[in-house]
Formats: sequence, C-alpha cells, structure tokens
Amino acid sequence: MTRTLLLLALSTTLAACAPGTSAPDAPTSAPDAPASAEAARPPGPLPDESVYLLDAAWTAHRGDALQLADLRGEPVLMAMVFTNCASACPLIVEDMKALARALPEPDAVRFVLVSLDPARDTLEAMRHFADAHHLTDAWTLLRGTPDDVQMLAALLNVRYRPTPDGQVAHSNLIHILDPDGRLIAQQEGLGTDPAAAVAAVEQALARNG
Amino acid sequence: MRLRPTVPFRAAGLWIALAGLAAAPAAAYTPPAGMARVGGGTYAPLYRDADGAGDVAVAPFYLDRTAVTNADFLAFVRANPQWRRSRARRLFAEEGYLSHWAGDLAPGGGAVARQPVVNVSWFAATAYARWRGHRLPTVAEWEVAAMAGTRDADGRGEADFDRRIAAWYGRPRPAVLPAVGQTPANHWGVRDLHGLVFEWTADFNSALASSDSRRAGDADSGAFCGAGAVGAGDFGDYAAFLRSAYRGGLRGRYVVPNLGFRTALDAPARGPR
Repeated sequence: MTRTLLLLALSTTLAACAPGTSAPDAPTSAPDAPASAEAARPPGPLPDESVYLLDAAWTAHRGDALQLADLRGEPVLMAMVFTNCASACPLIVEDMKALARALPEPDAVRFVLVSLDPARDTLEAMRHFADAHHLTDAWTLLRGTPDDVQMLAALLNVRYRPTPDGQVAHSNLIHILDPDGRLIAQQEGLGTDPAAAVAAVEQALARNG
Repeated sequence: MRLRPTVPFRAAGLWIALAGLAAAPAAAYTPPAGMARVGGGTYAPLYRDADGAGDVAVAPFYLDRTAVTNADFLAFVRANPQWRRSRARRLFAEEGYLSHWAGDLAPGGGAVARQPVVNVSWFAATAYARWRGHRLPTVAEWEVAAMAGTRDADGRGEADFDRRIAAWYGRPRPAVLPAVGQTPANHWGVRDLHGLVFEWTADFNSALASSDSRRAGDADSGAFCGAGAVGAGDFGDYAAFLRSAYRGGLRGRYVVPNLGFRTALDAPARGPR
C-alpha cells in the first residue's frame, strides 16, 4: 500500500514534469489511484507519511494564511532558515535554485522557506529577504508559532538552537517533498552537488518501478 | 496546531491561574500535585560557541516528581483515540509505538501500571503534556534538575554522585522495568532522573552534531549554519555526554524501550520585589 502510494505520487511528479503538461493526467494503473483527471490537486486523504498532515496555521510572506496541505499538487523544495542569517541561508537559497535546475522540469517545482526565528522574521522582514534575493512567485516564505516550527523541524529532522549572538544555529538541509508531501530526499550541507539528491529521487522511482 | 487533544485542561489552567493571582501569593508557589519546584540555575551546555559564551540561565519551573507511567498514559489514550496504538499516524510515532502493551487500552503483558511508559515518540509525549496543560522540559531544565544530588542543588560535588549515575549506565536494561519513584529523591524532591529510563526533552533536536561525527571540526562545519557552535566545553561530565549523544541520535517519531518522559510547567518567580 505504502509502495503503491509512493509510486503513484512519483508518477504524478513525473507527469507534472512532462514538457507541455500543465495538468497531470491521473495515473490509472494502481488500484487506489485517485480520480484526478480534472484536478491538478490530488484529492483524497493525505498519505500516512505526508508531512502535510501537520495541522498548523502558517502565514505566507505575502500575508495570506496557509496550511501545509495547500502546497499539495507539486513537488516542493523546502528549507528551514531565518532571514537574519548572515552566512548560510543565502547560500541555501542558491543551492535550492541549483537543485531545481538539476531536476527534469525546474518550472514545476515550488520553493518554501520556513522561518526558524518567527519572533524576528516578521512578514516585512521576510518580504525584504524575498526582494533582496530576487525570489520569484514560485517561492513562499512561511512564519508559524514556535510550537509549530518545532513540530515541523522534528518531522524533517532539522536540528536548531539559538546562539548567544542572536543567530540560530541549524542544520543546512534541503528537503525534497513529493506532490503529496512525502519526504523523498534531503540534501545536506552548503554548495553540495545536487547530483546525489537528484539520484535519490531517481532511485526512489526505480525502487518502486 | 491541532495534534493537541480535545480535553479542556487549558481552560481549567487559565482559571486556576486567575484564581492564583487573586489568592495569597504563597498559594501560587505551591507546585501542582505530583510536581516539584526546581529552583532554576545555570546549564553549561556541552557545546560552546566560538566566543566562549553559551551558559543558559534556567528560570524556576515545576517538574513531575516521577516519570509518566503506563497508567497515566492509558488515561491519555482513552481520552484521545488518535493516540491509541492502532490509530497513531506512523508520521508521528514509528512502528513499535506502545508495542509493550497488550492492546490499545491494555497495558499488560510486561507493562505494569506504575512503570514508566516507554516506546512513546516525542510527538506523543508532547501531545500528552499539552493534554495535561503542561509541556516537556527543555534540555537545559532537565539537566539543571538532574544536576542536583540528594543533598545539594549541584550534586556533582557529592562523593558518589557520578559513580551512581555511571553504575546505572553500566547496567543492562532489566527485562521488566521497575516502578517509578524508587530511587532517592534529589534536592528538589525529584526522583528517577538517573537510574530508570532516558527521557524526552522539548528541544531534543537542539544538539547540532551530525550523525557521523559528534565532535567539533571542519568535517561538520558545512552541515550547520553557525557551525562554530559544535564543540564541548566540559569534557568532565561523561554522563552528560552520553545523554547528549543519545538525544543526538533521536528523531521525533522514534520510539525506544528505555525512553520515557515527564512533564514541566513554568513556575512563578518567588519572593517579594
């Protein structure tokens, strides 16, 4: 069942990545295939492993309220950062762009940055960060309560803590989520060659194919 | 977020807090039933930032005198069906969650009512604490409480303090866990911080050592923002290192047969201004 769902979601990823396809066709080979021919967003309950099951209220940097489940339907590159970050976080943004370029269809990917420092990452600070780094509409910066941030970090295995100089020390991880919010790969470190993460996605496909 | 169970303990807590404001101040300093007041202190983390700073001031707080038991946890899963063994999402509690129980509502087999509950994930422990209107203690709070000897708030000077802890770590886990509350109460009246099970903390994921290397060094520096931060300040406390390494290996959904938890609460500051 799990395997089937993963395969299904990955097929959806591929469909979404196929050139010239704006709305992916519903895969029909699996018995549990959702009937999603007309809808870009897969209907039905989220799979048991979906990070999007975390029921938390977030605010996007443009001011709109958002649930993680709203991200459903496209692959997502996600990172937990803070905009006051002097060194690593701008580099993570560049790494996310590079990783997307290495994927079959970069334009199908959405980018999500979640703040580890919601006290100081106001919407204004996040908008400033988005402008300063020329982030397109494909990018969403999210702010949540400290409790919800902690929950998401625990789900994604992000380690973090405040440091005495007012920064937040944190894992440098880029999370690759499938269209249903399952974590299918992570890229660790800065300036990492995205080939390994791309291969991990392909391996996940091969294992289930 | 709505992992939070439905029982209205929080509302009750609000009224108790309001009542406390109106009542004589002394009443507000009495810990809730089953909890002890830990007077706070300073936690010296094992990691040190490049500038040498890093001590964490810990305000007074209330801490459960003993770990949460199978009986306590049974009440929680009765009231919150989504946390029963057969229903809990694998995202929030891996396979093996409450596996020592005989059934959804039956601690049994080897699980006795007064034993500490184990095989619970961080998400489950957090949900339990919120259901009670409490929270999990932070690493800093837990370590400050665990620093106390039977006599002093800082027991590390007591002759047999380290030896007793090391002796416990050296013993294999018993096939059947003992009941809570059988080790001596420490300075604050808290028991079993050493000698029974390991315990979840709210920020268990605050230790920034990678899975491959738990020491400072260039090998890790690319993996973390603020990477100078990894590196121990005190190599003397072997037991604290062991706990830190244990936490470093955990993920929020993990369940372990020797890992339980207890809950905490903010305490009002004591004394007149």
